[in-house]
Amino acid sequence: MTLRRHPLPLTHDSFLDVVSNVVGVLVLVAIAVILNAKDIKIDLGAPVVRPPPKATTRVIFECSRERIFRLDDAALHTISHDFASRYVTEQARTITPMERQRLFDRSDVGNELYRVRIPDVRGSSLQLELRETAVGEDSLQILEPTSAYRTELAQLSPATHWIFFIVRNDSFEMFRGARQLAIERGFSVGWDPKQREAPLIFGNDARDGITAQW
Amino acid sequence: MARRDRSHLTVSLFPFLSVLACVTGTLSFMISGMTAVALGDTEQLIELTEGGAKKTPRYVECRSEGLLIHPQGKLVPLEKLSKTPNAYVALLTQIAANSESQCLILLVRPDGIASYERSWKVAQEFGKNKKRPFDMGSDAIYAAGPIRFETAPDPAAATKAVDTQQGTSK
Repeated sequence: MTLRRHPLPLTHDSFLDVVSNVVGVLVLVAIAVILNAKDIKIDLGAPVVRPPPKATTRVIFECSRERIFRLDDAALHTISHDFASRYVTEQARTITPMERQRLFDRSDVGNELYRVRIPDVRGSSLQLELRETAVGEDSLQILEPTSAYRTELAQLSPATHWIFFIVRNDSFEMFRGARQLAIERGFSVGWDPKQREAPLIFGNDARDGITAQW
Repeated sequence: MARRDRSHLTVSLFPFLSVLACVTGTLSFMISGMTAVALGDTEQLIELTEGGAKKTPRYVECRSEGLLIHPQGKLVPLEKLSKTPNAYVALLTQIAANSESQCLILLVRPDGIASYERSWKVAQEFGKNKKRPFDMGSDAIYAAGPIRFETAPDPAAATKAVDTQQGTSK
């Protein structure tokens, strides 16, 4: 006895299912795009520069690589001074400015975020280089209550400190978020935009000429 | 007369499928276009908050190719910045002459930092040389999109707002 086999019909049902789902998703995406296609608003507060509040200390943050880093210039000055002094003591002789520059090039002087170099043999200024390994925080991380940036701000007082941001050209968005948080906490703030590769050089008189805006 | 066998008649969904495919294509095209427009041409609305307009701000946009003076829309190329006269120096002259009521605000785009550094220096030296210093400031703006300004509020009202704010917060 032979069984008569009917040819299996080709059905488009499953393919149709997939296409219908894709169309549904695309419709949702289109709605989302339309709703989000609005202008960016920028609020200008009082961007005119002015001297920082009297008897306040500057606290610096660098916004770079779309992240924020605490730049403790005073601590880095102390670290580099201590390093040079220790070397002089160990060698039991004074060192020339040229030797000092070479010493800082050879040795890894700095903290976990910045490395210190001597940019000018004749001067006392320091060049602070953000380390490649520095992690910092991004614009979402600073919104978390436990973020290091927020903790840092919480330890400062608007009566005794003001915040200065060094902003690289890749981190404008980061800067706006961080500045907003500082302003909300009542700090006076200032900023200086810098090219991505521009060196940060701090002299002993670096406090002069840097001004606040809020 | 033979009867037709109707049991093999099925509903074909193929036309519906082709319609859906067309809709998919159209939607993809629309979404791509709108995303490109949204990313490229979103306007940046510059809004002055109450404390921001003690003086009437004169805006200069720092771009990679030079300075764009608002609202005239006049572009001063970076290489012509040091050559006087130019529209930027003319603006500085106006601000210096009305320093009691006007100030200079540089709006810096991420690719306009070189323009910002040059124009800031020029403005500072201009104020020193003419012995008529004026207020100046800067702010960061986004990379893409033209800028639209809201009408600046009445300076007298703004001054009052600033005084009130400072009295309560500081």
